[in-house]
Amino acid sequence: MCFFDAREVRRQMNRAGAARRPFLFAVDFELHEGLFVEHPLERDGIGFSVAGIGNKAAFLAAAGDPAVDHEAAVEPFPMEEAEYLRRFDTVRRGLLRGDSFLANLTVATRIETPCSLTEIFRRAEAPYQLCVPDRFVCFSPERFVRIAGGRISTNPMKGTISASVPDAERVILADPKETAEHYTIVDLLRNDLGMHADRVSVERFRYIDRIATLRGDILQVSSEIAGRLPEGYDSRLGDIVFDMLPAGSVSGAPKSSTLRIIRQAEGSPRGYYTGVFGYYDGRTLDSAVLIRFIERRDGELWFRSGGGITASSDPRAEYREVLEKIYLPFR
Amino acid sequence: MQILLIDNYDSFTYNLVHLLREEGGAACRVSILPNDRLDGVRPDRRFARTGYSCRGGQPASLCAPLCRREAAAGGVPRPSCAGRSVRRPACQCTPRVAWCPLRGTADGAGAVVRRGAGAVRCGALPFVGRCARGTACRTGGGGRDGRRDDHGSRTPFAASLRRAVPSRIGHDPLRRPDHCQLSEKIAFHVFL
Repeated sequence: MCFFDAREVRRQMNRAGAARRPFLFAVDFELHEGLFVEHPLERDGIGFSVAGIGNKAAFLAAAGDPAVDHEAAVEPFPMEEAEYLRRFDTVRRGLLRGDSFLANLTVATRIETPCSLTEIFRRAEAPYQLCVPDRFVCFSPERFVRIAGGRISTNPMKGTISASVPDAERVILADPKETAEHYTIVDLLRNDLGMHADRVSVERFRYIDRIATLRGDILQVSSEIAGRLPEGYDSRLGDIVFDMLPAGSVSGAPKSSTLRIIRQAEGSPRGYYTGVFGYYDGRTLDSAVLIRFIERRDGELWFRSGGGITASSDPRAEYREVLEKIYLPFR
Repeated sequence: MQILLIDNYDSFTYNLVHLLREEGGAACRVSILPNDRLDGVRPDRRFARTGYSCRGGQPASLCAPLCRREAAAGGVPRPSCAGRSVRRPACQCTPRVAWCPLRGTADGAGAVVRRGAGAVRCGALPFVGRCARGTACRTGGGGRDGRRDDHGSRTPFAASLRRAVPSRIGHDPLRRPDHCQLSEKIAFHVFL
């Protein structure tokens, strides 16, 4: 049994952190449910890899993965554009009322692929991976927070462009909508880190990562924000992480009113998608936002994706963007 | 100096807290209170300054009782609620300078107007972004076109779109250092 009420996960993180016991944790977007596993490198029920550390081989063996590579193909069956536009309009009205600066609108797209969840987990090339058998697999490129030696840092990711676009890096950095979104998220994450940390500063601003996908490389724009935690923070690891949730890059600002808009527009809970997960080795906690996420529901696979909406967003471009994010993380 | 900062759930409160602490030095102590827990302030508790980010509407109304109580205790000048500084606010104290982020503007940022006592005017600080003219401030945001405020008055003003600018960007060549902490600086002037 490793699934708990989210409040219990928070408490267990505090306890394990105080005792410097390693753990794996995850929590859903709505902060209803989470998972918590102590000494996860010695367990094989849930597969994970965090910055190269994990139990991938043991998990795949226990899951009976046949180690057969199928064709890396994915066929999406997207939501009707009209339905997306209806949801977009709900968000836009919230923006125009002044209830939000920025809201992250997500959709679920049914997909078909010959690859199973465990095969995707085995072959995924991503810094943060999590696989809960028969429920979901996540191959996230986005760090949530890293806590080590009293330093807490976060790397919000806002802005995506295909690397095949001519002069893609300059185009994405010059895009006014992407720029405004990024500024807002950086300010929001400064605020969130500042709840527990002092000396919060932006250490890297709008740097570019290149990510390989089945359909070619994409460029992602991120920033790094960091601060110093007070003495004794190990016994409050759960509090530090939970007070920052839901993650700003997948919700919006101001958070409380934006979350109401998201609930209204999306109509159903996100579950673990856009929640967070992480691993603590007794000294360092590293965690990720649960994006790039495929879940199994009623025997079907669904790819979850989304994007930030501002009052100047083009709805059709946003619709295209959520579909462009559907990919398998290997060639 | 004891400062009470009321958290109006605008998601940027802690940026202000740190700025106040840094610039106010060791003697500056900032207490944070969510706007729905104002009843928790002890009646005998006094603050040198009380400030709150303005989200208008309900949050402003929530802040009003505490504002009145502080005024009755000593009449310390303080920022007014959004949409109230065009006239004397309910607490009858005179706001020196207040700020009002107008949410929902076009580019994921807020517009800021600076308000003097009895007037609403465009901020003199070098805002990042475009300038837009309106006719009044609508409490609770609504954009840069200007709407009716709490009292239904229509006072000319000009608002500048504020971009949310990260502080201490370091050596990033893309940003000029003088843009740093712009939004917080504006609010900082409110309190001290």
